Amino acid sequence: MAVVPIIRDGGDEYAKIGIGKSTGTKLISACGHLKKPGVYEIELGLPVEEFIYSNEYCGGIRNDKKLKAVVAGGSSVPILPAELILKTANGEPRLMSYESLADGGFATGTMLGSGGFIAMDEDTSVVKNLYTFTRFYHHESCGQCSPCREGTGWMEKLLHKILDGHGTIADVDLLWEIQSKIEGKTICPLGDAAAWPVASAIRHFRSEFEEYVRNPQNIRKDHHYYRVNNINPELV
Amino acid sequence: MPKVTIDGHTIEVAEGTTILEAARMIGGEVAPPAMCFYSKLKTSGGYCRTCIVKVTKGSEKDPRPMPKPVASCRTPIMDGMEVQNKTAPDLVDARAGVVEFLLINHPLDCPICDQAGECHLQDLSYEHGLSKSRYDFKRREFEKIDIGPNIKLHMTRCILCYRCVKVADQVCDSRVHGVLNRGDVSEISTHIEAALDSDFSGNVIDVCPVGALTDRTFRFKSRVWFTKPVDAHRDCKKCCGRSVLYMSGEEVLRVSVRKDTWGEVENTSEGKPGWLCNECRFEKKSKSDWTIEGVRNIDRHSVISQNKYLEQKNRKIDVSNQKLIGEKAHN
Repeated sequence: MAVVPIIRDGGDEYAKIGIGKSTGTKLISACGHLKKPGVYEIELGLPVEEFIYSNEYCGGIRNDKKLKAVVAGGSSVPILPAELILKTANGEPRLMSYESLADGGFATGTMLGSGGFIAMDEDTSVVKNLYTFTRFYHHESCGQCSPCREGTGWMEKLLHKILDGHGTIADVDLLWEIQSKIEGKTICPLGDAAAWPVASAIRHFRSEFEEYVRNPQNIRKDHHYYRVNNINPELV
Repeated sequence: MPKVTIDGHTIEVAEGTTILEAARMIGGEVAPPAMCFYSKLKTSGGYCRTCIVKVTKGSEKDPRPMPKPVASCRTPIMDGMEVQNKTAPDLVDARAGVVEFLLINHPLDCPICDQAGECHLQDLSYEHGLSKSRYDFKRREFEKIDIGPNIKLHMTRCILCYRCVKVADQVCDSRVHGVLNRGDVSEISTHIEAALDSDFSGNVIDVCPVGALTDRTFRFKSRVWFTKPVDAHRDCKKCCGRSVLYMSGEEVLRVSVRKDTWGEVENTSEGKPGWLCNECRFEKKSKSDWTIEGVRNIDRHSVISQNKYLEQKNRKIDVSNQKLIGEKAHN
């Protein structure tokens, strides 16, 4: 814990830990398809690859599957595919630090944010995951300013429509439009937080949205279909 | 005194003036639209986001531009500030997005709405909206409720501007209504459908920018553009007694406050907002109760009286992206 070394050794000594402007340690709450999910205190500057695969930390992906995507700093930050979270767009290893994770801006980077680290294996559907996030932000919206109040609900309904097998390519484009109209127009950053995951999921995983649109018959075999529609699969 | 440049017009304003107020001093197209801001009500504004503007230069001391569009109704002027409203195409686009959000849960029942013809949302969507909605889900719906004998609340039309809540707080003696719930299911209500019990509660009808709060004594009597508005006054102990009567022949159909160019209540000669009491508004419905001053010239507050539809005849509709593209900015 950070408090003890700060009191014992002083702030300057503590600030020597870390890299660049990201000094000290940070608690990372790692969850998802990891062998050892949990809360880890890391020294900032630790390579992401080491954090995921080393036995000292998360110990790799559950059932030795492949890593598909990571949400590095809580549900509001952009999701990154495995190749971009392990290495930056320039090919440098990605580090667990504020600067390194933000490298490349939102086009190829993300944010360290709150340190809510979510890893997803190759079987995960980014679209379903996004639906969960969007439903959360719709529920959290306070309703004071209009872009967030109306936009979060609209995005949730569109994603539900796509997951339900009734989506069209135009819906994916509309989803992109809506998030761009919410981002930066609201009073508080909850609007941004709702828009970023949608933007990044479409930016990096657009083919997956199109897969849902093109092959709706596959969706009905999926257990998730029953869950989002509140149907008990045993009764069908 | 700080100087500000909005869309190329420079004006000197008092310390603490907001961008919107400065833009209104310049007037015309420079003033951003406002759905929730009401200069006569304290703490109003900031909710609807239609008045967003782009600040390209923060101030003389710190010339950095602001990273995001700001709500002009809540942002005070700094000396040397440069603001773009109509001249920034990306901002006009962003505002169109806000208008679309306001409209997705609005029933668009203008043909049967009493507010039609003097509705700010109607003006706004005519200027910025798409010709076709992209929202194909069920719209939010509420039951209509009567809050008191004279006021009808049709929450489905509400855009949650909070103006009526501010009126209840600042003009009425006590507040018995507010916003319930949160997110896109929040609603204006009295919680147990109690009556709004205050002498000045009728003013919530006049501040409502849409048809959510309407006058039950006027509902479905006439369309506003068929009525003849006249300025009138009477001696009233409770209020200023200055009003606009909406006449049909010799009959007084509706009594409302006098509104200025921005749709806000006019100040009286003492400099106070000219709110009306419920007695003047709902009970004095005879021509003999009032001293008529003359015909009221309504310059902004009615789409029809402004002949907006005629002016925009030479607009073209681009069918491919369903956007209205103006050949020239309408004046």
